[in-house]
Amino acid sequence: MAKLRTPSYDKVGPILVRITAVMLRSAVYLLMWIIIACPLAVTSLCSDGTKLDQISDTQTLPNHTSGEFSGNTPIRGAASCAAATCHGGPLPGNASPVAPRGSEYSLWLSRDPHSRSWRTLCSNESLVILEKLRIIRSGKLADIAGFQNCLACHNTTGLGTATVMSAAANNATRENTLRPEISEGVGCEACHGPAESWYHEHFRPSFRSSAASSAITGNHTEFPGNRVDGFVDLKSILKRAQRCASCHVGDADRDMNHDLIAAGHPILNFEFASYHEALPKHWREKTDTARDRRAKLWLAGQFAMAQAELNLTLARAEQSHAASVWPELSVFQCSDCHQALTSAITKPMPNANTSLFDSTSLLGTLAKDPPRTAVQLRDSGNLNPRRWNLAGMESIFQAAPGRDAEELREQLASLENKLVTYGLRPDRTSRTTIATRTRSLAENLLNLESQFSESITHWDRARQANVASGLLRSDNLIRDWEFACRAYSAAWAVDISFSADVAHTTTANESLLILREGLIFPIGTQSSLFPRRDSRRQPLDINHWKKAAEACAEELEKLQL
Amino acid sequence: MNLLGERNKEIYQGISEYKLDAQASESIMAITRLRVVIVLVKTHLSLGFSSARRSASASFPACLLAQRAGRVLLPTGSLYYCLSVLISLGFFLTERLLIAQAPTSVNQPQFTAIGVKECAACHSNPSPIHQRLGITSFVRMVEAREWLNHDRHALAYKYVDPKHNELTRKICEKLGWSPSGDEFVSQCLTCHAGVDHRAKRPSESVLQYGVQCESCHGAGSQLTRVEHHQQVNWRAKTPAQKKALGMNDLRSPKDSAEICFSCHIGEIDQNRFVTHAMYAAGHPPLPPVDFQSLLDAMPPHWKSLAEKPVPAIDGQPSPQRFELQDEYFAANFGDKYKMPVGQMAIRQSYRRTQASLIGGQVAQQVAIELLRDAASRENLWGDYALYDCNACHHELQRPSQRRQAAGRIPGRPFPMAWWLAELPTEALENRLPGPRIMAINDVFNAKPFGQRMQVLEAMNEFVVESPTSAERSRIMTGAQVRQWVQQLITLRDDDIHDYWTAKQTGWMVTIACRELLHHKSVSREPIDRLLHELSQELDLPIAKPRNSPSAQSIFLELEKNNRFDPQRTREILRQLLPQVEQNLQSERLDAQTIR
Repeated sequence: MAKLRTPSYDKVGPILVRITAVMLRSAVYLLMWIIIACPLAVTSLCSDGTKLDQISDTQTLPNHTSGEFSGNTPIRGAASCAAATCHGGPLPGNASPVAPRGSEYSLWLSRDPHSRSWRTLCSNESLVILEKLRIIRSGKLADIAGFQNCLACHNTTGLGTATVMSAAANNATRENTLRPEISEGVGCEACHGPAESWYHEHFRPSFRSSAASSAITGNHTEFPGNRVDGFVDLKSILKRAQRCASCHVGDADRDMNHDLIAAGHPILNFEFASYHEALPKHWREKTDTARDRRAKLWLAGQFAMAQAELNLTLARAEQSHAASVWPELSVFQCSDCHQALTSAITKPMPNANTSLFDSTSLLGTLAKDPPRTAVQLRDSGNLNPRRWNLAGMESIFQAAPGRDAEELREQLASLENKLVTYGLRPDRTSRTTIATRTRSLAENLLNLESQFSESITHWDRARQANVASGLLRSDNLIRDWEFACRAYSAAWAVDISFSADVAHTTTANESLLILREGLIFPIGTQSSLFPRRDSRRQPLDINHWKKAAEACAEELEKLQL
Repeated sequence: MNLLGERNKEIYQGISEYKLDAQASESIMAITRLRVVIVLVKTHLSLGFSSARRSASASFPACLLAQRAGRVLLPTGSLYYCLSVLISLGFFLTERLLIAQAPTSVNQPQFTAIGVKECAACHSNPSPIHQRLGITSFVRMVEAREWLNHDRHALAYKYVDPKHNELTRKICEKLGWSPSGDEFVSQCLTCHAGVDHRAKRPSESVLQYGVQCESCHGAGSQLTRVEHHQQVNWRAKTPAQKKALGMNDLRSPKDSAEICFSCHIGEIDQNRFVTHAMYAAGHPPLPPVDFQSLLDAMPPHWKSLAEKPVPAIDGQPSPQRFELQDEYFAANFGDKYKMPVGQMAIRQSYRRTQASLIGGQVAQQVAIELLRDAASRENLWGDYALYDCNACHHELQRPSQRRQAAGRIPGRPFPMAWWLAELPTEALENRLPGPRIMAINDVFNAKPFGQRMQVLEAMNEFVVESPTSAERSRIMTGAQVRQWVQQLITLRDDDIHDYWTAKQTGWMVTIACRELLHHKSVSREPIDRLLHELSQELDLPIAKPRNSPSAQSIFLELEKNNRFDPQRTREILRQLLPQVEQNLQSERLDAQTIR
């Protein structure tokens, strides 16, 4: 503490005069500074502020996945489809293996996990997440935007409807207090589109779904008497994949970001073909494409996943979504940050030997066999972008080769490079650069869409086998859990059971099982929906697993498809 | 096994225990011995030529002392003037010649004009004349030797010298720096050799002493040294006066801690900041700090206050006297030293606890300034090294052992936990406002890594007038120390989530309890046992100075950090709390019990 020096009394007079002079002078300077500095300060503050953060040249990307529904088009709710004479017919018995027409609602309600997604949101685990995120504070809804972000995926009718919000605000989302029609989970309209404008039309003979679907992209087709808006033609595999990916990956309205993961939400590792396979069907597929369906689904999934990821990254980087924050940590590989500070000798992960891929981390990029490609790519302490969704771009380029694809490949590489360079830098420049690059990439991918959907129709099991064996023979296979999963899913999508070539099929099937075994999450790290590894089983040997991958690739190449 | 870790382990093992070349210290000693002989001879001669003191003292510091003595014995005579000048000059030349002929080896220290050499010339070996004049009762005069032979700071550069250290080469390679390039100097040697990052790269002979005298004591100039430091009335100057001349007040825990933490925590202005890139490339983690415990681990090259002879009081002669003794104590302690209570204050107040407390405050201050400075620079903002390692580096599983303090949103990294852990400061008047630390939560909860401008604003609010309780005359009473321990344990109970916060707390508690025990003759058993348990649990003993940081110790430290169970530490501290209350109630201000 500075000691105040008391001036002697005879000096007080001159000192007062001097003080006054100094004060006057300072006042003048201060005034000048205020005049000069104020506009400057405002600009500089805004450069990092939240209000003026929006990028000036923001244009709305023609967003065909889901953005067009949000809040504008009312949702009627699944109950409006549930009439017994419409889609609420009796469930098929054992005698009827394929879904009979008219029982769609009943099938969805009783078998489809989507109908239970509201209950998931009301579970105790979810409440813990909501409280951790301060969406709910002391029993009251505190963050409406955050809650909307949850409802965007978990509840069709919840998106912005006042009823749900107020009900939730009063009752902290407890299911028993909410009426079933407003808490339906992922209902019919989540995938088929808001029914308000086509509800009265869609049973008429004049209603053609393929024509109606064009309404999605903004060309509202006029039907006799009524305008049809919002119907999604799910006969197209690509459209279907895009609908799924809008929640299971995310999009401009649905951001399952690192905040949610940190609060306890499981990470989204979506793979369209296998999810599609696992979904209890309430529809009938055409039988003539059955042989190649898995392969087509797989390819469509690669496109949809990449597209959704780009849309999501764009929304994050442009901060156009209320729940998004930048820097967004989940853009990067989990294990790049979440790794032990020391080696395995000092911190073995629990049950480290139960999985091949977790010697240092949950989704561990395999550190057993260095050098990691990742390490070569980045500088010390930098992060790699997560490739679960974007890795499929390579398959898109293979399926739809051409100049556009080449350009896309370059753009993707440059975006990934920027992500590596900037990492989690929070400044505006890095954010806008990433936004600009993502935007141009997303736009170019969108331009490729029609050409690509054409390639899907030509895609078959032979080409799929080609892709799969290429992935299985890659060096990255044993370094990267995510890559290995992609390779496995590609091989699985070849759907070898259709082959008459019994000898090769058996070997391939066996090696596929081994591959799958090695990829299962270790105990203690799985989410409840994922298959658990049996702790009594012998841990898999990496060499054994590697051999299985080689064998599988070999069989796929030999297989008569 | 993680091979990345394996690789690092190998590198760490590469740092073998570096011993300063015996020849280097030998040659210093040889020169010193020569100097002593010369000085002795000179002293005898110059006894009669005190009129020559101006010229002589300019070249030989020791002549000054001799002249002081001479002035008393003999009258000034102009007769001897010319002779004395000639003889002094002769000895000056002889000395230079002898030094030049001293055995040279590869590691022969090449002193610069201002640097270790100048200090070591006097502060290496007490001469008989020093002893005769009672100087050694007041200054040890072995400071440079002690530092060179026992203090790890002398090896700060040798350890990281790319020529010897494989880890340094690896770090440089990973960061894309050339070991002989500018980045190595401006990023590494700012701490490891006290280099000014704006200046040109100093020569190897300057660098080789690492963190040397002037790094801490303050850089001086030849002029101030001769004109002031080597004059006898230097000791009568107040710390403020000395500071004005460039010498830091290292007796003040505040000033001293600021200097230590400039490297041990970081200071961006000085380019002393271990970035995340450097950690990721292999730099060992900077451990938490407790000022007094760090100081205890350092081989003392100074005389503690209690070891200095206090001037006579109440007619009792002081056991040892030195010139300007009264003035020295008056300059450093004001008038209090004259009273018995004041003497007690100097000797017996709880200085160690006080240093620990002030050090804690300064650490917080330095950390806050580090955050502020980082937030004010866009290129540094968001460097992961500003944040708690455990915020990201934790396992992903349920149930998780993640350590998350209350009031923080998951997924939003928070600054290094121990930087901002609560510190009870009621024991001292000046304090950082503790509850405001909680307000920082909001800033870092706002978005991942915090909103830069908000952080800047919040940190600017925090950079308050730093604790000046280091006022030298302040006394901390036993009651205050007890209060401090109790509050520390109570407040930190919620804060102890990570190993490093716990370790800092453990050090602080130990320092305070040990000092309380020291001033009391009570049953030590339960407290001793608990302190021992605490020390075991948190691995509190700091490696002895000459033990190099081996691979094993770094990994053990990180392992401790990984496996740390806060519950165990909390239990020990909770058991300690009533013991502090019961057993350390009464205190005796008995000067005899002081060592």
